[in-house]
Order: sequence, then structure tokens, then C-alpha cells
Amino acid sequence: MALKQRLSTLRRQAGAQRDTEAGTCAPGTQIAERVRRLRPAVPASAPATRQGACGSGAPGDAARRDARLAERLDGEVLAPGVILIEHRVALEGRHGARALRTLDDSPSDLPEAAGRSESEWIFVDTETTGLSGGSGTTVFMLGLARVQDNALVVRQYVLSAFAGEAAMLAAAGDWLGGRAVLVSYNGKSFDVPLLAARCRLAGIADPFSRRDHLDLLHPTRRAFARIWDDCRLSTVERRLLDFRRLNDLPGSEAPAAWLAFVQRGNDRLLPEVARHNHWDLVSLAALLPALAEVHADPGAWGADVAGVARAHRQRGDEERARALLGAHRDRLDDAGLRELARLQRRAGAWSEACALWEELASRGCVESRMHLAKYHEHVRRDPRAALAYCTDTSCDAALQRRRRLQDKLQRRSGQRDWFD
Amino acid sequence: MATPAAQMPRAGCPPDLDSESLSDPDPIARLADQLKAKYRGRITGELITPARPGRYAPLPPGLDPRLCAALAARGVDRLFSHQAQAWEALSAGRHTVVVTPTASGKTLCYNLPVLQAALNGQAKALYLFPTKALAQDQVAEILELNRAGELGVRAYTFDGDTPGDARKAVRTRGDIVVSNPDMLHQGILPHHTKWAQFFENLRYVVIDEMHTYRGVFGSHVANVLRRLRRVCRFYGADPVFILCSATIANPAELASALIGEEVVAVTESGAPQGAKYLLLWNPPVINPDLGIRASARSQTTRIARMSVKRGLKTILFAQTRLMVEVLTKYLKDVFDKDPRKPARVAAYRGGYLPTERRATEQKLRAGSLDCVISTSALELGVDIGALDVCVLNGYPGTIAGTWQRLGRAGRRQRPALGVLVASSQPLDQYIVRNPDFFLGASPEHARIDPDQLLILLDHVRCAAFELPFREGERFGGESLNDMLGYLEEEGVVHREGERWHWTADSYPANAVSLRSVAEGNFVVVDIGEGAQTVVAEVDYTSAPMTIYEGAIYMVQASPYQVEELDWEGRKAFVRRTRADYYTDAIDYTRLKILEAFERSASGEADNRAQSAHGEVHLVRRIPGYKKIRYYTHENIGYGNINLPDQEMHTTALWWQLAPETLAAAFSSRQEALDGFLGAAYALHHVAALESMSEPQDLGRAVGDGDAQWFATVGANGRGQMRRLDGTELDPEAEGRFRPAVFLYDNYPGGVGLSAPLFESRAAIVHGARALVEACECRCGCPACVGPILASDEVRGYSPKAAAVQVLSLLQGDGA
Repeated sequence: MALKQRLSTLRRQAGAQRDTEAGTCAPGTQIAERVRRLRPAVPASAPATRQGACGSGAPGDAARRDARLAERLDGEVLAPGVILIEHRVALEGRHGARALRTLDDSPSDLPEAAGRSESEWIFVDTETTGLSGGSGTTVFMLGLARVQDNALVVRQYVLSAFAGEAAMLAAAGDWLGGRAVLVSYNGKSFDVPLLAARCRLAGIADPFSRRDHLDLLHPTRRAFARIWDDCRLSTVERRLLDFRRLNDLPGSEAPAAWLAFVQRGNDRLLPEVARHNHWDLVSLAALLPALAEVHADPGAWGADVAGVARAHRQRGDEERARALLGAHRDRLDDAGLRELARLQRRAGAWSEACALWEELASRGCVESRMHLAKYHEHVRRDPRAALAYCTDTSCDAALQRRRRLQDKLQRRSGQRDWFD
Repeated sequence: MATPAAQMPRAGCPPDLDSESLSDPDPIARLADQLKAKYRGRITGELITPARPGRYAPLPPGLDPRLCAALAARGVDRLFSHQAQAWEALSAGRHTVVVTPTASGKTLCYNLPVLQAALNGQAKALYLFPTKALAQDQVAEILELNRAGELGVRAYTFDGDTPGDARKAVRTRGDIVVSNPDMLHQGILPHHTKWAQFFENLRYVVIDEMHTYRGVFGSHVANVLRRLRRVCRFYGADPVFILCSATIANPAELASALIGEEVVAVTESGAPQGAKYLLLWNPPVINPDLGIRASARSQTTRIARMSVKRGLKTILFAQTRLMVEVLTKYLKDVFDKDPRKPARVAAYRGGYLPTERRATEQKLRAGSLDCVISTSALELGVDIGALDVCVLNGYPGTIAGTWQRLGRAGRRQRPALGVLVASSQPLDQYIVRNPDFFLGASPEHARIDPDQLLILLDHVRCAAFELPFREGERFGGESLNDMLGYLEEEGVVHREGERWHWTADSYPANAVSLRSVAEGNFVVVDIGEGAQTVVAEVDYTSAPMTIYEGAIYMVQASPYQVEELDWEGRKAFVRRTRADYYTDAIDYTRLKILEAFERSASGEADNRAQSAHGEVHLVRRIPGYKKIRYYTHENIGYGNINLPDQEMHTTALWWQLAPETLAAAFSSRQEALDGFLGAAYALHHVAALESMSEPQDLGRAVGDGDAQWFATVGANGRGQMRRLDGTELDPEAEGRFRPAVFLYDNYPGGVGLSAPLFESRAAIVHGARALVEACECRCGCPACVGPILASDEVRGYSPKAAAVQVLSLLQGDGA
């Protein structure tokens, strides 16, 4: 039995559930070639040339391939195996409902961006041969964008062959320069680790990892994860930017589109991949100021006020968190109310805090009852009032406090007896 | 006798701090004496290994002073001789394998050079243990030494339980990373760029419990190590391998097959040893006509009861998960009658969830369990503290495995008692009746086949994902170009110039399990009480035999009944039941010879026996199951099983006899058929002994070799000829009658068992014949040719004699 047949049979018997999809390559020449290679003793009567799309051809073939792809993508050949596409998007234009001009505004309302508002943002998004990560996943399209001369300059580096990888990574690194801050959507856990792996494999220094990085997925999640069904970039575009893509190639089809080119020379879908990636980058640029606005006024954007307030507090801006929560008190759930009460207490606004705790306690919140007990015992110095909040016997803390308060009251009444 | 540990000079093994003072000075010797006095007739052999003094060597002169201080703080001021030998070989940069018994301080053999290298030059080490539990024990031990000497060496485990936020610290800061082959395969190598720093400085790779890497698992691990070395070369590293093993016959050969390099073997232990008593125990004959003995199970529970009642910590090993559950139930019925008290008896086996196993290990270490019943799962060095008595319910199948399990008692140089209770299986009987054979035998060879086609292809796939293959590179024994060509057609790699790049949107390591050739474990889901809870996992190959609809599946001796088997979804839905029976699947196997790779010298012309090995196709059908009642073990019913036939291409070894020879030697074809079935039974067991495989790694079958018919033992104890659909055939009515007996490699594609068996076929036939002839039964019994139900008179001939006749004819194959 031939190797291939033997293998498929064995694999099926070993419980493989789906037959591996062989034969994505042109069948005739491939199989002839395989037979030739499997039995090297047999003279090659079949054509020995295996015309892979961009395989091991002569150098001239590779150059023609690069030129063809550059033309198809409306780009230029940057180096053997690398095509560069460059577009300028005028800041005067609009992306959905947003003017890109707002990019010039400082996004300092976004907690992550605070203190970096003078930095230069570089938007980054990659298209890869897979989503699983690991060293077998290749970045075949690396898109970068930055503001230059009153325009958003979008540069997309596209591999026409694996051999172009090192040149692509090095060229992108050069364009990044030294001080730029990366802006991505899920780039901290996906794009940048992957680029780091590619640099390591290509044997070049990694210009992506040790660099400030603002991953917009995180502020988006914090503001909308509890409100929207998902936080995919397409959802964000629809809801925040009012941008709708027409005839967009889904990102999940990008790997197959590039592999079709590499394996069979079929470049039909690559322009669509490039357009998809281009839109991703422009959306990122529009999203940065939009998210800053969301964090300045979450109520106006229907965002999760408590989540946004928590982010401000974690960055040290308690006052802003308190003001936001206070302004949207009617939209808060109990956790949000507890957080507001805590901030009011820390700001010394006892009456506001107590009102919140009373409201929560009336709905059976034991923790708030404990806060009230503490308040009456230590601030008001009224243990008898405090005792009234310690009636919940199912809670150890309440039981202990009750016992302690009773002792305290007893001692006091004892003292009174003695004085009387 | 006093505990030897108390007077033992301290050397490269932590001192025994066990201060347990039993009121009885030597309860173990006393139990051994009582057993011998009471059951003299059942004890066929006895071995007393007296306490043995240690042999020592001074600490090596180059040893880092901080390390010397750490050792001194733990009471170690010299080494055992084998530790010093290992140090010397490793200092010379040689790959080294150390083979010494449990508790001989073998961990110091690798910890010393590794710590020395970490202290002196930022060198890193990777430790691989077959299981997560062993890895965790190991880190605890290094940390102890680390603390003792304030060495500042960082050792971390890295496995599936390592939390995501801790992983980066392990990768970048760990001096010693302790993991397992599965994690290396799925979690580390495919992400090697994240480990770049680690690989660049990797000086030592430690592989403990090497003997577990044999058969399928070992063949996979050898390939994972090929990938590891390939990735190391990418980072310019060439680590030295340190391997440790329990006793096997060919440690150097196995080590060298695993890592693909020459190794130095250190095999003489210098560690002292406590006294050990070993008894070989044969259950009494209860039906001399049929040669039926009392069950091993009844004897094992009896010995365990005596031992636990005397306050001795006892471990029982059983051969199958089912037997673990049965024994656990019987002992729980005695010792855990009161549900308000904490359990004294627990079961431990594969298929339980990890948390449950960890809890049992913990209870064993704390001494809160009195008795544990286990499969080979506890054979490894999982730290379960000191046990006193070890009872083996049945011969584990290998001499090495037997000593490994017996080593579970008396780990801390305390006296220990082991009892090997023979079952009615032929090997067991052979061993208890020939105690000198067992007590004097050398252990078996461990074999792997790293170039098994499917396994190799799996790892070529994974390796291609990790780094592009280059023209002229080598990986394994098959042609790498052919393999890559196959993968290119599949569309997962793409050749560009001199390199093959990975081009699939997938993560191949996730689809490859190191523990099997097969893919896709089944999960057992409890659907009782509304919820769906996963209670166990079953591997693909054993699923048809264990979780068919109607099967009773046991977890911690609680019976669950399988209500639905979702074959495609790989799920069995079960519900707790109160059944008083267990179930046992019936198995029909039909074989077709596809190609003989090699034949014996004898030809068909001279009517002598022919033997060969080659490729076969087999179809297995599980038509039904038997219900067997607890305690009485009577058959109380049958059920049908409706499962797809299991097909398999594999390799096999077979013997055939010419029809003329059979006609001359036997009065009827029925007699010849019975002879073949009996011979197959004996051959199977002797071959398992020969190949050091788990008995289930090897299958046996009798049939025509052309998939027309197969033979099976019917309910009346007589051989039957059947077609796969179950139709019974009349042997006399068939045309040409040319039965063959097959021993096949029980994995798709085979794992290389049949070729070495073909080489030693003469010894196997000879051993099988000796086994049957030496058996004390009259006309056959489970100890030689398999259970015989119909009596001699009804048949008119002895199945045992028929088997001997077949075996003697097979001896004429010119081997």
C-alpha cells in the first residue's frame, strides 16, 4: 500500500474523526510527483516539474511573482517577498459617524492614555495564517498606521513568500521608530506575542514587545462587556463609530486567502484581505478618541458607569469616580451603589454614604448593615443604635459584633449602676 | 529486629525521620511467620533479602561549597557509590542512565550536577516526569535542599495546572523547570520562542522513571525528545541527558533509543536496604478435575484483612480497573461499614479525576488511610509515604513491574512484606510453581519503536509547526522527504526553496496524545440528579469493551450503568445504580493476512509448520456482554451490544499447519481446533512475558487468516468456528481446514512488537509447551490452556493433550 493510503487508513482506524483534507493542491502533477518521490528507483516518466505557485522557482520567477502581487494590491515591491501598500487617509474625512480629526485631541480621559497624551500613537493590526498561536503561525500581513502631515498614513506589509519575513519585520521596525506607543485591539495577547515569536524565528531584534502598548480591547470590555453581547471590533464599529463595512471579507477567512496564494498562486482574495486590514486600522484610529469620550461621559454612550468609574479609581482618580457614580446613581446596581457608598465614606460624605447603606440594608445587604453598625458605633458613638444593625444571626461578623456591643453596653450600664 | 534506618550511617539519602514506634518490635516478620504457619501449603516460594549495608564515596572534590553545606545541613557528608559514578560520567559531559531501586537516593544523582551547574553558570535544567504528581514531589524535594543551603536556585513546576500569570515567571526565571512529556509536547515546544532564554541556557535534561517510556508512550516520547533536541539546536544548545530507571534488562539500550545517542549506564546501587520478605502464594485447588483454584481475589482480601487488622499500612495491586473496584468493594464491606467514620480503604486508578487522586495520595502520606487498592497507577514514584505490606493480586505481567510494585512497601528502609498471589492465568501459575525462575530471572527488555509510521508522522507534523524543516535535515528513520511530501499534499506544509513551512490554521500538538495511537478519549458523564458531571475518562481503544450501553462502569467501587453511548461525541452517559453484578464484554476477532514480511525456512511442500510475521487486517466485533454476580461470580444473563466494528491494520506473528499434518495428528477437526485455542492461550501469555508489554498490548486470535472464519471458546468450553456475523460453522463440513494462530500488536499500525517476537518464536513455542506440559491439571485448566468446562469424558480427548500436540507440531517450523 502506498504511504499516503497506509497513513489515511491507519489514522481512520485510530479514531481520527475527520479525514484530513488532502488534495487542496492541483491533483495530477502532485500525485505523479509523490509517486516519483516515494519510489526514487522508478524512472520519472511523469513530469518531474512541480509547478508550485511560488515554490522553488528560479530567482526571475520570484521577482515576477512579487511584481504581479504588487500590482494586484496596488503596492510596490519593498524587498524580495515583501509588498508594501501605502495609503493616506485625510484627517478631514469621516469614518462612519466620526471625524478622524478628533485624533488630534488629547485622549487623556482614557485612564490608560493619561500621561501619554503627548506620545505618538501607532496603530497595529496583523493578519495571520491561524488563530491558535505558537511558532507555526505566520504573520503574512502587518498593518501599521500613524498620523503624519495631516493624514493617517496606513502602511501594510504583505508577504508574497515566507522568505520575505525577516525583511518585512525589519522594515516595520524601522518605521516604528523609538518613542511610539502601539495601539491595538487585542494586540497584547495576540498580535504582539506573535510578532515577537516571528522576530525570534527570523533571528532579528524584536521592535514590538518592549514598548508601551495601549490595547483598546481592555477599555472597551470594561465599558461595554456587560451591556453588549460581545466586544468584537465589528460590534464596536457599529455601536460606537456607526461604521458599517460593505462586502467585507471576514477576518476568519484571511488565512485561507493567503494560503491559496502561496500554495496555488491564487491571489483573488488578497486585495479583500488588505481592505479588511486597512479598515481595522482606520477603525482603531477612530476608536481611540471615541473611547476617551466614553470614559469622560459614560452615561451619554450607554456605557457601564460602574466599570468606567472603577477604572478611574484604579488610576487614582477617586474624585472623578465618585462624581460619575453620583451622577448616575439611578442606573447603578447594588454593587455600584456599594462602591459609591465606599467612595462617599472615604471622602467623608457620611450622610450620603449612610443613605446608600440604608437603601441597601433595606434590601437585605448584610455588609451594608455592618457598615452602618460601624458608623453608629465609632462615628456617632452610639452602641445601642449600632446593636440594632447586628440582628442577622446567619453572619459571623454580625454575631461577633453583637456580642461585643452587648458587652460594651453592659459594662457601661454597670458603670452607671456604680455611679448611681 | 530493630528498624535498620535507626543505625544506618547517613549518606546521600535524607535520614529516616520516621519516629513511628510500633509497640510490636517487628510486626512484619510476625505477620510473615503467621502466614507461613497457617497457610504452609499455599506458599510455594519465599525470599528473604537481609538488610544490606551501603557502599560509599566521598563528596566529589569540585562540589560547590554551598552545595556541600546544603548536604551537610541535611545530614549527608558522603555519597553512595552510584551517585559518585553518575557525577563522574556527567562531569565528563556524557549522557548517563542510572538504574537503582526505589529509595536509593537516585534523585541526588541528577540534583547534584544540576544544582552545581545552576550555581556556577546560570545553566538551566528541564526535568521530565511521567505524571504531574511526581513533578510536584520533585520540586518539593529540590526546594528543601535549596532552603537547607540557601542556594537561591529557582525550581518551578510547569504543567496544565500552572496558572497563566505564573507561566512567564517560570519561563524566564526558572533555573529548574519540572514538567512532563505531554506538557513539553503540547505546551512548551510549540511555543519555544517564549522559552528562548531557557533553551539557550539549557544544560541538563533529566528524565526520571524512564522505564515507563516503553511501548506506545515511549515511542511518542522518543519523538518528543527528537523535537526537543531540534529546538535546542536552533538555540545553539546541546544539553546532556540524565535518565533514571527502575530495573529493566536493557536500560542503556532504552535510554539510547529514547535520546538517539550513546549513554553511560550506572547500574550498581550503593544504598543500604532494609530486610524484605517475599512470599509466593498459590490459591488452593478447589476442583482437582477441572484444575480450578480458589480465586486470587479471595486470597488477596484475606491477606489484606489480616494485615490491616494488625495495623499495618497495606497496598494492593490489581491488574485491571475492574478488579480494583471489586477488591475495594470487598474490603470496604469489611472496614468501612460505618459511613460516619472516615474511610480506611480507598481505590486509586487511572480514569479517576486528578483532584480525587491527589486527595488519596495526601491521605496516604498523612497515614490516615490503612489500605489502598491500585492499578499500576501507583507503581511509579508518587510519594505516598511508607507502607508495610504489599499484596499483588496476580502477577503484574513483568518481572520488572513486579519488583517495582513490591518496592512500594518498605521505602524508608523499614522491613517490608510482599506477597505475590497467583491468579489462574498461565503466567502466574508458571511463576508460583517455578519460584526459582522468578526469583532468579533477569528482568525484561523494554522496547520502543520511535519510527512507527503513525507516531512518527504525528511528530513530523508537530516539528514542522515548531520550525520549518530544511532540505537535508533528518528526523527519525523513515524518509523525511516522503513524510513532508505527504503533509504537503494534505496542505499543512508548503515547500519554498530549501524549506518546508507550516501552512495550516491549526495547532497539531493538540491533536496528538502521547498516551495512545488512537485519538479522542471518551468522557463518562453522570446524568443522575439532574446535573451532568464528568466522573471519568476512558481511552478510545478500551471504550468498546468498557462503556457499551448496559455496561456497569465502576468508580470508587460505586456502580454506574451506561445508559447511552454517544460514539461520535465521545461521551458515555451513566447513572448510579444498585446492581449486584458487573459486566464483561464478549469479543469476536477476525483476521486477514495482508502481507508476510518474513517467513520461516520451512516450506508448504514438506507439510511442516510455517511461521511468519507481517501485516494483517483485523475486525473486532463486540456482540454482547455477560452479567456476573458479585461474590458468587455466576453468570446471570447476557445483553446485546450494538457498536460499530473496530477495524485495525497492524502487524502480527502467526503459525500455520498444513491440513494434511492436522489430519494425521488429530482424530477430528474439533480436536485440532481445541488444540489451537489452547496453544494460542499459552503462546499469548509466554509472548507477553517475552516482550515486556502490558498483556493488553498483545492480542491473540485463531482463524483461517483469510477472514472467512475465526475460532472462539463457546459457553460449553469447546472451540467453535464462527463467521463475524456470529453464524456457527461445522469444522468437519468446511472445505480446506488450515487454522492459524496469531499474536498481534494491539495498536493501529503496530508498535514493533511482532518482529522481535518472530525472532524469539522458538523460545516462545518452547516456553508455551513447557508451561502446558508441566501443569498439574489433568486435561487443561486456566493455568495452561484456558478454562475447561466440559469434562474429559464428554469430549473423548484431552484439550490439554491437543494443545501440546499443536505446540509440538509448531516446533517443527525450522526456526
